[in-house]
Amino acid sequence: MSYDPREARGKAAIVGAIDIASPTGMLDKKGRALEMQMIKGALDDAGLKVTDIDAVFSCMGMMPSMELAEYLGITPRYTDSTMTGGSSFEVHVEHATAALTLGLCDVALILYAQTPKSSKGDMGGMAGMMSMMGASPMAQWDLPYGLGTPSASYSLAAQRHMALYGTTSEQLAQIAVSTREWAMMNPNARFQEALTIDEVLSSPMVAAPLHKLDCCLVTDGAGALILTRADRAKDLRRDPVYILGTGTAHTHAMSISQMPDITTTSAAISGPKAFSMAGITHDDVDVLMTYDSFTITTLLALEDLGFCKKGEGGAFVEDGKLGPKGSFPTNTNGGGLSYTHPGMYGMFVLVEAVRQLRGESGPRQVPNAKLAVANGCGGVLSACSTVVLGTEETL
Amino acid sequence: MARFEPQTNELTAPFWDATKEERYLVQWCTACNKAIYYPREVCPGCLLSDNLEWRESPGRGEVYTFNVTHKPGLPFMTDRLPFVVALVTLEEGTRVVTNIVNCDPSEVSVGMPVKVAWEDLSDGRKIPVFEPA
Repeated sequence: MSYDPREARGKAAIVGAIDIASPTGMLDKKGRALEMQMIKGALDDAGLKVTDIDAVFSCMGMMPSMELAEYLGITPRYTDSTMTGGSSFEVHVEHATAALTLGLCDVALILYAQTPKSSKGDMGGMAGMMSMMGASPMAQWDLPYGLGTPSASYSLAAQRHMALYGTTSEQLAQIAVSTREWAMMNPNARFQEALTIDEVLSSPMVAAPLHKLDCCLVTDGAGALILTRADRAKDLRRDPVYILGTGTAHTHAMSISQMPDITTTSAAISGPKAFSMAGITHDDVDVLMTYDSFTITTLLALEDLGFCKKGEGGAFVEDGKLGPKGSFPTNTNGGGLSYTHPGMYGMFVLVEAVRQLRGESGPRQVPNAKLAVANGCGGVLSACSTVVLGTEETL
Repeated sequence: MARFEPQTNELTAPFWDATKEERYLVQWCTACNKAIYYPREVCPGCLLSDNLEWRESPGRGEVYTFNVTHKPGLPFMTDRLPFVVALVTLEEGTRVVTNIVNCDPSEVSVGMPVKVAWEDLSDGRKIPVFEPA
């Protein structure tokens, strides 16, 4: 007997989707209150009720999916607390697709809410962080050298990419500029003013070669997704957005010294897996939503997903093709760079992909978008998870 | 604020003890004939601990990549900004986290040969850093 993930192509669909962010970077609600707002929004979008949920996916907390289900007062028959950092939600979609296809559950909830901007200090500050790191190898081998934050790790990747391939700071800055052009059309984006390459390059250096404006925001934000099997999806309120392919891989956790090749992320594995399951080529992709914790994160994903060759990402982006006037619409919500980034941004690439495929993205709508790729990247370039989504026409 | 000082545990005590005499140790699995970093309780190749040993290293290698940290996210080493964080590929084949010192950050480049140097910690141990070779 042989097994083929292609059997799950189009078997599950996103039928409810919502996210929230604000130009102030802050939200009124936080914690469970914010989560419940998102769950209600996603259920209303789908035309389902909380008692329909029989599968719960969450990565926030000690026993994330259990704590969430307890709070909701439901008794799910499928549970998943997978935590891969910012790509957790793409992984949740993959797992939900598998579980739905096998009939292990019928209605899956995937949830995220985090409010780092309005909750400063709630994490326990330095003491909290150090106790969290505890006995991790990082505390002994990374932190003593000042390597302990995402910007420090991502700048190491950017530097080597520049040295090997001649990638320039201007090319990285163009990614921030193109992404901002999309954010200027998103009324909920944190930054909506025009941005120039010079402004990126003259922003303060954080960890050379990355400037402040090469780095993502720190904002509040939240979102939720409801998935169900394709046969049930047709009867619900919205046009289903079908899961055509998924793929996940991780190379390391939070110690970037353990990454086999610092210029190649695990999207080089997750991307081909997802594309193969979906049976698509790069030319089929109308919209790319890819995790942009830093400008270099986008550039590496473009290469690793195969939209250009390794080392050619700089040349690929420099004509502005990622922006609204370009030929390759990417990060149309304004991205983690200009829309929102509460710490684990992967929820928002999925929600925007759904919006684009429903034709709901307003002024930033990509005409006739039928197929989107959502690519999450969690940890420090550690865990990549790729989801191919499509309209009914792509089935 | 100065450096965050690493805590030693049973596994890594030999490494940190040797730093007091400026000896740089690398963990090896003699069965797999492979250097291991970061040090582990078992060799990730054979999952055995029997063949692990510490070998003294000449502490030479080359810069795999680096950054110049101007605004550290954590409040350590703020007394020496900007500083260089690097991954150095040792002659033994492992890639280690370190700082590049005793040169201007603008002189550091990918591929630059480096050798180990030592900085004092507060308790008699020293921390291995690297400088141009």
